[in-house]
Amino acid sequence: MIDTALIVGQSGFPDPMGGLTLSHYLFVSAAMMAIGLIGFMSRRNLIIMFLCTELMFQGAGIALIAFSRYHLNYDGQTFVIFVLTIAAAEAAMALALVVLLFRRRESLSSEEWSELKG
Amino acid sequence: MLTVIALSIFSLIGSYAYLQKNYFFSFEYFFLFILAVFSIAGLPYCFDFIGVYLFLELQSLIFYTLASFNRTSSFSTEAGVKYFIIGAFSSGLLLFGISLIYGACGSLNFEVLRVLLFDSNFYNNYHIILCFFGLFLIFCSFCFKISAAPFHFWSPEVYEGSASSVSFFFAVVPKISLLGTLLHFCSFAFFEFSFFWEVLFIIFAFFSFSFGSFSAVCQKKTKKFLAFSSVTHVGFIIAAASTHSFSGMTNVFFYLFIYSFLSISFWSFITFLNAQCFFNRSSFLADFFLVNKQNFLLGGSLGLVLFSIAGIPPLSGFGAKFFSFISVVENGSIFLSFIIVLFAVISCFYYLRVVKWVFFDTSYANKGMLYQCKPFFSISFFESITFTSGLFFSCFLFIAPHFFILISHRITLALF
Amino acid sequence: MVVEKKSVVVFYKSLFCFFYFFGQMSERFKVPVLKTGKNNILRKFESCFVRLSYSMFFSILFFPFLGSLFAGFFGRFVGRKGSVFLSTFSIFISCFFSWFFFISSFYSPISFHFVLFPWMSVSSLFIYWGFLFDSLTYVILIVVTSVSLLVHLYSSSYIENDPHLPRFISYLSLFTFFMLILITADNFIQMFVGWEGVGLCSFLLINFWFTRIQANKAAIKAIFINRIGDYGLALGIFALYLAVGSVDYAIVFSYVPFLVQNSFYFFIFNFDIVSCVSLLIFIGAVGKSAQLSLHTWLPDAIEGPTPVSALIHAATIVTAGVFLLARSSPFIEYSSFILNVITFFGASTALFAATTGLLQNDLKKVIAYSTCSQLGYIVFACGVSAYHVGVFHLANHAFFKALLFLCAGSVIHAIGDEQDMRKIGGLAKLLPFTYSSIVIGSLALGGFPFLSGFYSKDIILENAYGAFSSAGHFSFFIGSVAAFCTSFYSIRLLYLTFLSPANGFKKRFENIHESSFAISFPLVCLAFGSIFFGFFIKDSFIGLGSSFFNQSIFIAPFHLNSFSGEFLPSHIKLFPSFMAIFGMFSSFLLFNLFRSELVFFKLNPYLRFFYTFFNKKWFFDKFYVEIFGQSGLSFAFQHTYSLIDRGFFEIFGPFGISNSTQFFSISFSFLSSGHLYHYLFSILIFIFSFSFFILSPFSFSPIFFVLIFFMM
Repeated sequence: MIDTALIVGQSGFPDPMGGLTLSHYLFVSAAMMAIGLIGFMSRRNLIIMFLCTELMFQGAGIALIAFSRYHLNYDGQTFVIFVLTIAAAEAAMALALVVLLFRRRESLSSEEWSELKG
Repeated sequence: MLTVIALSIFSLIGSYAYLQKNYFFSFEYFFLFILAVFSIAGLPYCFDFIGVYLFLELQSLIFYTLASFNRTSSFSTEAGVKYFIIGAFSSGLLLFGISLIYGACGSLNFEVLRVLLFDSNFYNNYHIILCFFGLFLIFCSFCFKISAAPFHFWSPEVYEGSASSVSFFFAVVPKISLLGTLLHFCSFAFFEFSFFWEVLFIIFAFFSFSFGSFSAVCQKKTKKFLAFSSVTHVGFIIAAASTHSFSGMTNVFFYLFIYSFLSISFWSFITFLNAQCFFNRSSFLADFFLVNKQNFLLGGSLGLVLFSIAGIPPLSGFGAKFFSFISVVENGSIFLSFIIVLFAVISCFYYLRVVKWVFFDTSYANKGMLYQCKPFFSISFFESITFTSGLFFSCFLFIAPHFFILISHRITLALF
Repeated sequence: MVVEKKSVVVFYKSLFCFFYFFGQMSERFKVPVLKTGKNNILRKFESCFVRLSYSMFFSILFFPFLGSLFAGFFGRFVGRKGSVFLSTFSIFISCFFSWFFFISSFYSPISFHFVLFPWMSVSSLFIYWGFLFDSLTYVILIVVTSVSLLVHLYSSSYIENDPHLPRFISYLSLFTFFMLILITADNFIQMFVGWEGVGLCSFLLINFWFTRIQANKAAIKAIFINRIGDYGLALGIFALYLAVGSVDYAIVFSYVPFLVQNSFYFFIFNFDIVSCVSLLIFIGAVGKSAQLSLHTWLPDAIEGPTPVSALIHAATIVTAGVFLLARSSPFIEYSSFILNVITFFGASTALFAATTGLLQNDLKKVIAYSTCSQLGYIVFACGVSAYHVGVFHLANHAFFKALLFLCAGSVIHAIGDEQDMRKIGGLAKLLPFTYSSIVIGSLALGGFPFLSGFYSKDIILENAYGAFSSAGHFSFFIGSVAAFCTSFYSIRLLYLTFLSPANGFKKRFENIHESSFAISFPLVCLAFGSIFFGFFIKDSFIGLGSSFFNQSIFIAPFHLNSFSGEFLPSHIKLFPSFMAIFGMFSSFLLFNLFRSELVFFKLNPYLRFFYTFFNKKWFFDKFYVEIFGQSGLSFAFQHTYSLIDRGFFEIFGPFGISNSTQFFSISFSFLSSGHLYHYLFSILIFIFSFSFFILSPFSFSPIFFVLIFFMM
């Protein structure tokens, strides 16, 4: 059961977490997510954009693990393992694409890639 | 699942000649193709968010690869990269939505979620907000995949950039499975939230209508045109889904069947055109001009297909739109049904514009184009089979739709 | 000729198939009509009779239709003579059976009612194709079919040189069929089918020579003015359905006594149901029967071929309105106010048309106005609840008016399409047969003693006087004045056409000849009808206590005027006849002796006013055109067309949508710019705005900020 006091407050969170509550973790994950989004919006380099999406993934992963610990089951942690694997696969894929792109255009700026507009 | 496999076989056969011509008859292509079919077919059977996520990622990774398969083309590469970036963004949203729902409910299993959410003592405001956000983000990422507006931006570019056979596959096969999954967890796990996801569906439907049809009106390139028109079709489909009634769900799947058959015949025609001509003839809509003169049968049946998509009454496209419309009217949302009619008119317009190209347009400036093509089309056996079967189903399904209505009925029963 | 014989054989075969088919079909309708005898043989005989009568009823109905189909679709193959023969023969069969039932109904007034199959069933509205044959139907049946038969015969000779003879014949037969549908229907909707069908056929027949602009105008006028009446009738049927919940005669008429004093609200107005429905039905009758205010189509309809005028505009279509009044008598009888309205309208029409007829110069127009006038008589007979007398006069009138029209046609045919009476003259010695027929017709029309018109017209006036109400007295005196005018213009017509010195061109008189057998024979038949029909049928139709119209016409006991009409003082009784004979003599004297004085009509300014007023038909047409037509047209153009249709609907409809589509499509194509961050930006805008939408119902709380921070 989630409660306002639990998320924001001091008591009730299991002891092994020490002084850290669920909300701390959620703040971290939210910050990662926000940084990812802002970076995604503001940067033009494709590699940086891709890294920002990775950041978003990991932010969601941290939230999942924190919830998993909170709910005292392992679904979330299992899920995070899979997410990590897939993120690795995506990284491979992204690097391959980036290499392809760089061969074509000698640039990784996303501004130059708008031939398909219209 | 059988449906998905049958559709992919159709699309494979349809793009056979194109593949032969363009030399990427490599074994990787078929390997990826079959993997994609596996992921798409397996998706509706997931009962867990982990499974959904994994199948979805598998499917999208393969699709990224397929989109950029033609390494020598810069279009193809660009399409692949854009698809990849936006797709990664959408899976990020999906993941975040899943994590929110997990945070609220503590489980990733649909069955558990269903039991939990049915119990109204369970939630307080925070749960509801978390679930709303989670559901909303999952919706957004699914709408990426089925290219519902305003998340449709990838689809025209990817269709345009990647090879015709790949676009064929993208257009025809995955939508039915993705929508099935979406409706599955909507109506199974989040049944209690129906008031919320109905609104979501309506909003997405509205955006899809407007973006799809308005963009398609002034579109000159064939594949982009098809992408936008498929956005409009998705709008019709999720408008029917927004009714949250049994008949509405049935009509969703019926529409999907008819849409698939129509797309099969139309896309296979585009691949013929690509395969037949010395250069990429099908890239512009205006290149359809006077197909009728070159091959009367082909032109006539193309006209029939276009009429069917446009929704001219005795043909099946009309039936699909009509059923969708009827289910919305039955639900009592008059405003939405009014909008459906309005945009059906606009979509009718842009299909009939293509009919004009095919049959009547003699004013095309560059008549030299005609001599660069073969004076006659010749179609191979496989091609003719795909085209005519698509044609047959797409045109005459409205006359005897019982079989497909039965199938959609069964699918809908399996949802709950 | 071989082809024609073959087609005739085909026709006979189809005839037998037809009989067989309906004989078989009628086994399904085991209606206990005559279950009296217990003897087995007698029963068999009865069932035979019933089955036979079903086939006969169906042949009455559908033979005209078959004839129309043959003449219309296969006229090219069966030839001109073939199509004429086939359709005439089919009408003959129909006519024969109608007379059979008519005569047998004297002995045993049975009414037959059978239902074929359902037409539509929408929630509580059930409409069947059903047919009702009762005494009223029999009377109209014989009128329609016999006049139609004679007109078929007549027109085969009259327009034999027209290349479209089969089409003409086909229209005539189709008209007959629709008329039969109208009079045999057993519910209002089916009756309305026939009602509209005869309107359509009337349009087609007036417009038969469609290259003539006058015919076009007359046809459009006819269908347009009839539309007003049809609108009223349709509203009446709707109101009836609203009130009763059914449109079947049987149900509606048995339900009427319970509707009295009931009312319904329309907007904020409260209407008495019975009066409202009766009034609406009467508006329908006004349109079809050309009563005052909607009469203007009838005199113009003479632009059609003369047989059409005889069949449609003298004998049948104009009787549809009267038939409707008589048929819905169980309804109208309960509303005294509407009965007075009907009386008033009928009497005014009688006077108006008679005075207008006095000074018309067109041969056919005079007869058309006299038709209008006689219809006025019939309608006010209905208004004073003497429906049976009205129907009687209707039958008589059909004979002598058809006779008059056909004679006029014969004259016009003989003299080379000249219709202006002032340019004819002196035909009595050249066309003695036509002359004698037209004399018979005119005398019957004027109500000369012992001809058929005498019996019915005088009884109408007696009944009107016998009502002892102000409306009754009004109509009695108006009717007597109209009787004077009627005989006056009849004799004027006779005089100008036949007796006066010849006024036409010499060339026209050189080739003059009596018409062929096909034209003369109908004249003979109709002349016999005009002389004897009234005398023979009088007792059964209007005899005191006659049970001929036993169930088909309902007269409320407090409206039963026949008895008081029967025992009026003799000077009242003789007054109309006196007026008629006085009219004849005065007309004769005026035109014979004081012919030269007639010019004063045009010289004297007061008399000239009357002359213009009557000659221009009381300025009804001018009034309608200038007040309604012009203002309606200008309103339609300036407001409904240019403001609403081309303005509002165009801007918010096609133009607006197409323009906005172009605008949106261009702006949306800017949106897909090809830059990734644009796409992402639009997506994020969507997500944010929707997040606020989700959060707005919830109160602010810490988690709100957490989530906003998430989303940032």
